[in-house]
Amino acid sequence: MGRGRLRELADEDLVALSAQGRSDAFEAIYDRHADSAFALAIRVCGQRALAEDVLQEAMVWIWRSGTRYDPRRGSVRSWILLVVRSRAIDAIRRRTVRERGLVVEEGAAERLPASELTDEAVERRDTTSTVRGAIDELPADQRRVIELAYFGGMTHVEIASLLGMPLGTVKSRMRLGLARLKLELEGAR
Amino acid sequence: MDGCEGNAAPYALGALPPDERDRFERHLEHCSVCRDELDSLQVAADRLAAEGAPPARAPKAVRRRVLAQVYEKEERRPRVALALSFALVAVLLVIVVVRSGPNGGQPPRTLSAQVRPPGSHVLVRVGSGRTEISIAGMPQPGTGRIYEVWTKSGAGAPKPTSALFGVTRSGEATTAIPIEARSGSEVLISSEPLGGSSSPTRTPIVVARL
Repeated sequence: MGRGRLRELADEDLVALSAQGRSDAFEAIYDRHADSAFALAIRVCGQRALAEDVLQEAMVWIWRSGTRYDPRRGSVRSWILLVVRSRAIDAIRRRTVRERGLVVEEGAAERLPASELTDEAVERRDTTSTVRGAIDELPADQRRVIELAYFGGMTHVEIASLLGMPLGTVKSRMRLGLARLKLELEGAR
Repeated sequence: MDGCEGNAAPYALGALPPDERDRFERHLEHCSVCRDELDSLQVAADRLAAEGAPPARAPKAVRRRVLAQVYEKEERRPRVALALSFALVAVLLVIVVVRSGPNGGQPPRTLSAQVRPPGSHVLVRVGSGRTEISIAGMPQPGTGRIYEVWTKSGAGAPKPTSALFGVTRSGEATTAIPIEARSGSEVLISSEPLGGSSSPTRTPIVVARL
């Protein structure tokens, strides 16, 4: 099968071919998701150099572990991003507590001028802006626990300890924040 | 429900420690309240992953390093049996294999097969030098596509057969391959472009081990 046809296949089909050892199928998967994976890695790691290591480590692991993809647990894209997030959290956990913390976004992400973006990338950036906007719209206490958990890689117990609040309060703020985020995103469609 | 600890949101955010996460996953198996809540919250959590970070472009240097490893290891990488990669997506279904011999055949045997479309039924008749496959309840293979039958032995790659077929509006079809499928081998069916393929391009929807 030629590369042109490969790139027309669905993610699930590409993963199946990649699991059989088709390098070109994996290459198509990589090109489809590497930018989002790298953006997430930067967001979690807070450092571009570390995020590059995470992206490389995660993608090579995915290539070697294609058979572990389970469609019942979500899309290929979700699986890839889950692996990247997990690797990024492992990376920051290996660092000292002093170095850990939430990402400083300014200067961390590779900002792209619109003229350099493809139509697909422009659409993705607009969608990203929508989600970032919805996160920013959350009440500060809900946004904080969600960001500490998802992008900071902290457990609910660690967040409760950090913020000096009962565990039940942390769980409740996570639930309220995610529910509100969902509503905001549904309203933005 | 008893045992609910409000863990759906921390779980969706990946904020449960491993032991608590495992306990919650077991809890999910019998708690529809938590399952429903998780389904609802997971939508937002998934979008955090995909779109919650400012956009960035993956460096070309990383691409080169990753693909260098991918193409370098292509020959040495262990080829995992195709059926394994599909096992997780499959739905268990019962098929019946009838060995029809010269004396009217042996009693039917009931086996397990992995079939993706729930509600589909597959009947495999293994005879002398010929294997017949009858199917019911299968979806259409898709526009410009056709179903293709493959055979597979052990960890080898699936081998194409001459059997290409479509299904009726009600999802029925009968086809045959001019070989006698051996015990321990597998018969696979996948949707392929018209004319068939030399290797499966889509996940087989039937994997029957004989």
